[in-house]
Amino acid sequence: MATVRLSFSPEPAHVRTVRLVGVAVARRAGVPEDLLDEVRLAVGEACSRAVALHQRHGLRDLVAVEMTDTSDFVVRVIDRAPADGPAVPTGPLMSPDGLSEEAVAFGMGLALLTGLVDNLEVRRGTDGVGTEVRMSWQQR
Amino acid sequence: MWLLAAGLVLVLAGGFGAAIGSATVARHRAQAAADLGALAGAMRAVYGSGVACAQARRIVTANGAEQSACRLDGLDVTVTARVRVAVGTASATSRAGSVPVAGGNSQLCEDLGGGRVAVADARWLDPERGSEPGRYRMDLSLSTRTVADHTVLQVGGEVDVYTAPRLRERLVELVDGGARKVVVDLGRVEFLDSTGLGVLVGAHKRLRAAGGSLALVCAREPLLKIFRITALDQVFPLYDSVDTATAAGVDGQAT
Repeated sequence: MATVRLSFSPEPAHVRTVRLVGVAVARRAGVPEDLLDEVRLAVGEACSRAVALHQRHGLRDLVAVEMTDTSDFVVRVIDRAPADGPAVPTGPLMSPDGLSEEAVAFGMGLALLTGLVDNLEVRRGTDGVGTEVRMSWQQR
Repeated sequence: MWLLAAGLVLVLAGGFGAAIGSATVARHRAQAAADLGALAGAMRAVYGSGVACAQARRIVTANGAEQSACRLDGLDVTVTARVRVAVGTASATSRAGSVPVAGGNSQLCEDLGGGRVAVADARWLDPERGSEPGRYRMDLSLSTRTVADHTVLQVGGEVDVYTAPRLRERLVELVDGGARKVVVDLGRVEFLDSTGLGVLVGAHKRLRAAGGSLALVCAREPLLKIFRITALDQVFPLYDSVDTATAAGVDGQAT
């Protein structure tokens, strides 16, 4: 089992760095090439979500990312923001009319995560603070 | 920039059985697999031996051979491919190397022997900086032109949480400047995330409020999948080219 861990300040500019690292680790872990675009997008969405939550709550805490290569390739993105509102979409997507751009992006991000990742879990942080988005992909 | 050239040197070929019939075919297959594997590996050399040799193995396997050895020295990749047949095993080794090219242009050449050289690929790509103008860029590029009575905004590179604000600014400028029939050409977009989708939805609403329309040009499957997953393919008219987008009416629907 191999593990790569990183933490980053909640700044949009760093999300791309995490995407690059995520794809590099996934490729090394043997995730098929045709899934790498999905890994790239899902890792980016999970990190964008964490950055947006930290910024909304004025938190400077680092966002943590952990990638492990076990029988599956697992990515966990952990934020420190207080839980408010649904963590995953609860109903069919509403018409985007009438929502703010940020709200649309947030909803689309969650829609992409649920649409792209077969094994997606969103749960409270282990110490009761923040949320953990856990995604996994099978290696062939 | 990693504009590199690669010259392929076939260093040895041997170890196969009687050079008749299937053995000859096997030898040729092993050689082709080794050549292509080494080239493919060398193109990934900047990622290190793990990635380079994994890529070489994929190509060797796809060519019906087995990769028995792969080594990365600097940016040179040496691949040995093996093909088993009834009369024995054919194996071949190829080495694809690279040298930086002054002046910026690049070639990836394959020495076919007997003085024949094939140019396999014209570009190498640095994963960080990109090299081909307008494509594979890490950052966002925006350019506006007018086609008939449409304003076409060509977007290239990566639209994400970091770069999307610039796309939003440009779209707001266009609408404030009087543009009403806006076509956003996503043909050169390498990456699009939910923030980018939010910006497009915002522009769509702004234009509709002003009596205008927003159409998208998007033909690549990975991007189309994003629009399908988010059901935004029901919101935006999507076209496969700027021509079809500008030929459609103001409220034209996706074809």
